Amino acid sequence: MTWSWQTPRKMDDDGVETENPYVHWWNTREKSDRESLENSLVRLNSLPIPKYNEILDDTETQFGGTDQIPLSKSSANPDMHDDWAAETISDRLPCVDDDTIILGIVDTGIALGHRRFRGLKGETRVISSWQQDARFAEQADLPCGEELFGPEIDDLIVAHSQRGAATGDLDEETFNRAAGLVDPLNPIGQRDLDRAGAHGTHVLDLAAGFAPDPENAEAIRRQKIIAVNLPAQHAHGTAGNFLAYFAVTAVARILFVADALWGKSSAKNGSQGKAGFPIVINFSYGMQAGPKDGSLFFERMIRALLRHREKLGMTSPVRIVMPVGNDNLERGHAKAVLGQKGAIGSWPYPAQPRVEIPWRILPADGTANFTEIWFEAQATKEDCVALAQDLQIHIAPPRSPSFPVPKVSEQQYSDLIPSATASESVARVYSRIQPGDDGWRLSFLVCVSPTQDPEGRGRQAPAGLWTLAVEAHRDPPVAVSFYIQSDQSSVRGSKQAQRSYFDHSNYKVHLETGRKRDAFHYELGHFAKVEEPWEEQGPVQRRGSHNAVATLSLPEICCIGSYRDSDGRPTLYSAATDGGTGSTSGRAMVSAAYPGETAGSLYGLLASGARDGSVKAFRGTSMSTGLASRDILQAFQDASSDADLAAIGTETWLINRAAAHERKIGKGLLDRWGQDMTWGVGAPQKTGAGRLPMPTSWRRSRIDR
Amino acid sequence: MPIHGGNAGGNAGGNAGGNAGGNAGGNAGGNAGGNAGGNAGGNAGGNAGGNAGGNAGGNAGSITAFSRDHADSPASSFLSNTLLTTRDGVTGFWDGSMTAVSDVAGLAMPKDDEYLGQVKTPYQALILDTFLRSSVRFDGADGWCELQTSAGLAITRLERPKSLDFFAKQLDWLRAYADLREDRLGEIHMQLDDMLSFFGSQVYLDNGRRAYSLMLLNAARSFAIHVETPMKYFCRVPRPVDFAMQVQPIIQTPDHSSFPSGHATEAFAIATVLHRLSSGQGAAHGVENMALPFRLAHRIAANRTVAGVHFPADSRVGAYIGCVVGDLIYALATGTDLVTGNANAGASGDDFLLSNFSAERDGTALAVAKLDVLSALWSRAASEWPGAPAALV
Repeated sequence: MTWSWQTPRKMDDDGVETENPYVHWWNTREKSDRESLENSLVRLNSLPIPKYNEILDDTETQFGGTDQIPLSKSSANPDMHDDWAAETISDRLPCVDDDTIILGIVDTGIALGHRRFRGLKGETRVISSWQQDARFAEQADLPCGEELFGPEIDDLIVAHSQRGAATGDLDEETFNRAAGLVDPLNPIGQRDLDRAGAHGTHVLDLAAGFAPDPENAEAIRRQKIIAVNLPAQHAHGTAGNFLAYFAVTAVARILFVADALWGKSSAKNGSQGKAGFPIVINFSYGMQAGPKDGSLFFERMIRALLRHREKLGMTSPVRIVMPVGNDNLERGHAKAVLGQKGAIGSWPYPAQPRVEIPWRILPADGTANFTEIWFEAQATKEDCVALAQDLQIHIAPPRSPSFPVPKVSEQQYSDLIPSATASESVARVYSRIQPGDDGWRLSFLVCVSPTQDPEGRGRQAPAGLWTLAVEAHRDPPVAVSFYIQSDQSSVRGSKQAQRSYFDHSNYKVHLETGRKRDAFHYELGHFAKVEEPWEEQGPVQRRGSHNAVATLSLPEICCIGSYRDSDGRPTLYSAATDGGTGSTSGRAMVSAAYPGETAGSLYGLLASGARDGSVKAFRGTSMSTGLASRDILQAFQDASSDADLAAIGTETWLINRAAAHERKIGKGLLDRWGQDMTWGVGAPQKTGAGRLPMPTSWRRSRIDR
Repeated sequence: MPIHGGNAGGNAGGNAGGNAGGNAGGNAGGNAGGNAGGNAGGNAGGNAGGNAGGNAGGNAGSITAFSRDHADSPASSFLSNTLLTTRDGVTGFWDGSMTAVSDVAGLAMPKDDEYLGQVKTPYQALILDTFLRSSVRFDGADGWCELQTSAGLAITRLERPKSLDFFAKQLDWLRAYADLREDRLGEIHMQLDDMLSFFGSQVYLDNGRRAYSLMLLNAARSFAIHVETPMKYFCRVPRPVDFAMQVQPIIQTPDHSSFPSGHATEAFAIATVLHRLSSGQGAAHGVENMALPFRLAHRIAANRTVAGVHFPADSRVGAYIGCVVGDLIYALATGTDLVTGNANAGASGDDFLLSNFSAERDGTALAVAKLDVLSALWSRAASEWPGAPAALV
């Protein structure tokens, strides 16, 4: 087969209002496949955040008015949503004490009926919960779904409980349906809570679950929850195409509701002096590809939201806790220096004029595969344009010689077609230039169609070893990173999405001992040393596999890794940072680590399953993140002064805490199993400043309901 | 559901679930499952011989008619051969005269209750099963079936929804429940044959101190099968896969009618008897209060929809009939009245949930004649529970 690249086109030419190539790809390539799902496509309203354009301070359009997304029509507000105003929700809010602390959680499958999220009399601790893909409940200020407030949740609990009492057994089947938490008759609706385990419930339990016992009365009174249930996986897009829309809106809504709650409660309580409740937002989600310098759209929006809140005069602390991700061993990251000669700083990557990355795309893969190619920051946009001119990208499908991709300018794309039929493309390259704190970033997005479509539609790409190559004879050289984007099926539990990986012969999966190789050596009595030297095993690296939405380095943001509780060993899946790219806002190290695994023989961490009273073991940095949130909440609860509040939960606070604990390891400190903690040394890029133990308020046994 | 089965062999088969189990189950069990196990000799043998021969068999004292166990090992041709040679070696000359007792009066058989106590529980169960089955009869024609007392008085009636459209409209629930297959696969597979182990994890249930309770629950299941079979015969409905190929069940679709669900009928009959034994209350109370046995029965029934072989309406109606069967068993044990009532398939769009289901019956109070054998065995079962809330007065 002879392949050819088509003449580049502008994204604008396709009538899709977006600057986000994933959104463009979905609208031009995947949308038509979804049209068979009746009522599944809606138009996005713009982000329903006050003064959206003002806070971002630019005019970029990530999610424009004509984009369509795979969200149920029944979930969407058919009209443009109203602006957010505290008065519109004030009547529905409860009143709380001034010393309340808010845990905001953005996740899927957050059970609202669990006793561990309720008080001594069965009353909910949830202030509000927005189910983003529940059937639209005519709430004019929401773009989609349904928002339930505490008193309404209490009413539902009573209505679905035995004896009509909040302490009676809850019929979760009907409660979950009535609350819009599950929607079984909607083929793309939310179902997480119908299964044995649900991510959001598990994480929330780790973060803020308490048995409704008198001994927890203080925590129950003070620690309240504002939840956002993200839509089912289908609406995220298989590469997380639309996740940012929902996640940014979710974070904004949590801040908005928390501050509205403050407004109502403080007025009633006659409070003076402070402004707002301390807020910890747990966002146990991640993506694999991005600029990783804090300039991803989601990250810029988070920063803008925090600064916007300060401008509104709200001074209470906000902390955001996110996981470093579980993609350490997924072979989704490669790094190199491109140029005629030389090197960059102290990096061990000698410049080379051509970098070639073999990309293994699996057969029977029902979802598209994406790789992002990012170049280091340039001083000006023009420098990026010049850099693009210096580069030559080559892409070779399996069993085909490599051949050059035409120059694709900013906001353009080019399609790869098999000339024999010349009908539809199987791959595409987008080009993008976007601003960051350190200048401008040039990137390319390589998209490859699914390798199998069970419904027999066209455009399947060949499976096998694709080759991505970038060539530049520059001096000085430029750093380049390759990231494979997240890849998930559109329905949870489906095996349709096969994850691609960089299949380079230098990469070593195992150690000589047969153990899986990690980024760093971990052995008692030794300091952590790199276990994947670039010179021998590059360019595919575990370092740099960290979560692309958690790379913004701000005092308010913590990024959490995971380790094994029994022996301190960093978990293999816990991703590693690459020590920073020299950017001002990018994250160089993990903040700290919490258990994400109990022991070699005890999978994951036990916490609430989908049904009240059930327990499920989940593993991962999401779980560790929940524990970090729990520690911060507890510290807020224990704080004795406003000055304490200002320090608690910052990254510095967590780093100091972790480092202090790490220093005690190996010096007679006993772990919770009663063993001397003679642990090997962790690396900051894996476990941050140190490994913190399970929070003391976490339950000790599964029967502690 | 095995009517005959092996004890130790089948038991071992069930446990091992492999070759040895299959062979042992086949040889010793001697029932259909056991034979299949013996023939196949492999995994299939382990499953069929083990599950069928053993599981319900000697393991728990179910409806296993003839226990062939000897005093210290299962029956085998080899044992018989050695018993033969042993007799030749030790017995000596015998002229055919009575030697065990001097007076035949000493061999007089005991009265009913004592006789029941002398035979093993599997045989007791067979006696019970036979009498239970003969206490009812059926009337029916295409589309309806009525369960009647042996005197021909109506107990409950079932009618198939008028149009197959009713079931076609339930397919969206089949699609919805299919999403849960990964979670439920283990339960679905175990519940192909085994329900009682699930109830046996809610309460202590074994052939030790709850031997009679277990026997009654087995009898309830057998009786439910007896009742559901003609109902399926008269009210026959195609299976979900006949409506849409996309259902693609994850277990073999049974050859018989979808409507009503046998699993629902059996599970709710068991739940009703269990709830009565443990609380003294009937089916309506248990459903209304979502007592644990009924939550479990609902899950067993719903798992069949998850698997792709039943409509929710099959389960709804089966659950109702199962509750009637369970309450009927109590009425037969006590000779008390039973309120009659007819099953309702609900609306075509309804899911089957415990909360939108009622086991209340609104018919007349029907006098039920006491069944002495059942009464005797019920008393023994009732005494196995703290405070004996279901004891006969």
